[in-house]
Amino acid sequence: MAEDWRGKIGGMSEERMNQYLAGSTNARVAVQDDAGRPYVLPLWFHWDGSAFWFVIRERSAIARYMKARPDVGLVIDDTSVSDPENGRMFEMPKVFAQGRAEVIEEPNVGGRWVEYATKMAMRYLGPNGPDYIVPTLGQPRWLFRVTPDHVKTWEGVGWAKGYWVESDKSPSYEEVHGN
Amino acid sequence: MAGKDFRGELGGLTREQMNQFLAGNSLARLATLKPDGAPYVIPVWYQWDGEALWFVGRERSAWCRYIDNDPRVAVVIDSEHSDPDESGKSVEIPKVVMEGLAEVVETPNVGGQWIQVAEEMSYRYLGPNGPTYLTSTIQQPRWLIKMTPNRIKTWKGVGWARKYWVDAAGGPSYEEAHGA
Repeated sequence: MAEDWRGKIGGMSEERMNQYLAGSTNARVAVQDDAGRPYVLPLWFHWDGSAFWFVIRERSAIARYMKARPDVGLVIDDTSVSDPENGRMFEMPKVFAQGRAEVIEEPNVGGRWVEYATKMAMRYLGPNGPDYIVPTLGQPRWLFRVTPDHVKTWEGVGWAKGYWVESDKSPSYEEVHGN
Repeated sequence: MAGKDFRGELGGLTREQMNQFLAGNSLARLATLKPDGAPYVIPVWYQWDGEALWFVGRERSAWCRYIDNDPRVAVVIDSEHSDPDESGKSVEIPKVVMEGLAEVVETPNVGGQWIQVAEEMSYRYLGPNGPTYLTSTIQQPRWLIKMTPNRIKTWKGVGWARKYWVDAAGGPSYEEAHGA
């Protein structure tokens, strides 16, 4: 019974992670601001199988911050999202990554970022993609690449065993997770 | 034209719209700093009481340790659209960003004030499965953390805030691009 709403609990294979990252969930990207405080925003991303790409408007603070302090933490996650290739759902999928950002292009018009922005607009907005992106192609953008040195994945409604504190008072991990 | 419909209304949220959005079941994405200063962000349940965000963390969660070590945090709560209000109207792409200091109200314990906060959250996020989930894990020690924002920023709609638009770059004007 429990398994139905929990989904499969555990990490994702690389193939499954790539499928999930081809969906239309935003990355929530954390950097440090000028004072070293955390700063977090949702951003569109493109995952190429080994790095995350971001196209950012010239005046966005997050681009300045990322250039000054390239350590980035990000998470891509959902409550429940369809998994059309396998005819089921991703239940609470999560991909965490820590990495370093590189400026691939300083703010410019007409650079390589256009290709990434166009792909992302289609992925995130579907048929409205061109209506959004075409009128803004004249606006200068940064192109960043974040190569993760650490990636963690998780899916399913349940706890990773490592978080469970065993004690006499508490049901065991196995009792609670229905196996 | 498709343009105006998919964009929704642009601008900030009113306080009422923000409170209504925060009463829905979007997750918070909470950014903390690791001891080496690198940012670390996780999805987490929150409870907004009108002035502060409350978080309940498992004893072994890294983010709770990071907060205990450095209380500076930033939070974003955003969604494709808010839950509809009484008149059936929802806000497209609401975003709320809060920055401030987090306070450890309870270190990991069983039976503390966190239970009440976790119960409220479990109904909001899981509906009928809420109590099932919580009962089975209620003997697991948790942290209770409170974050009072010193800065709140909100946005809505698919579009650019005016100040981000570079007028001298060539191409259409802000108004042309936003269908105004």
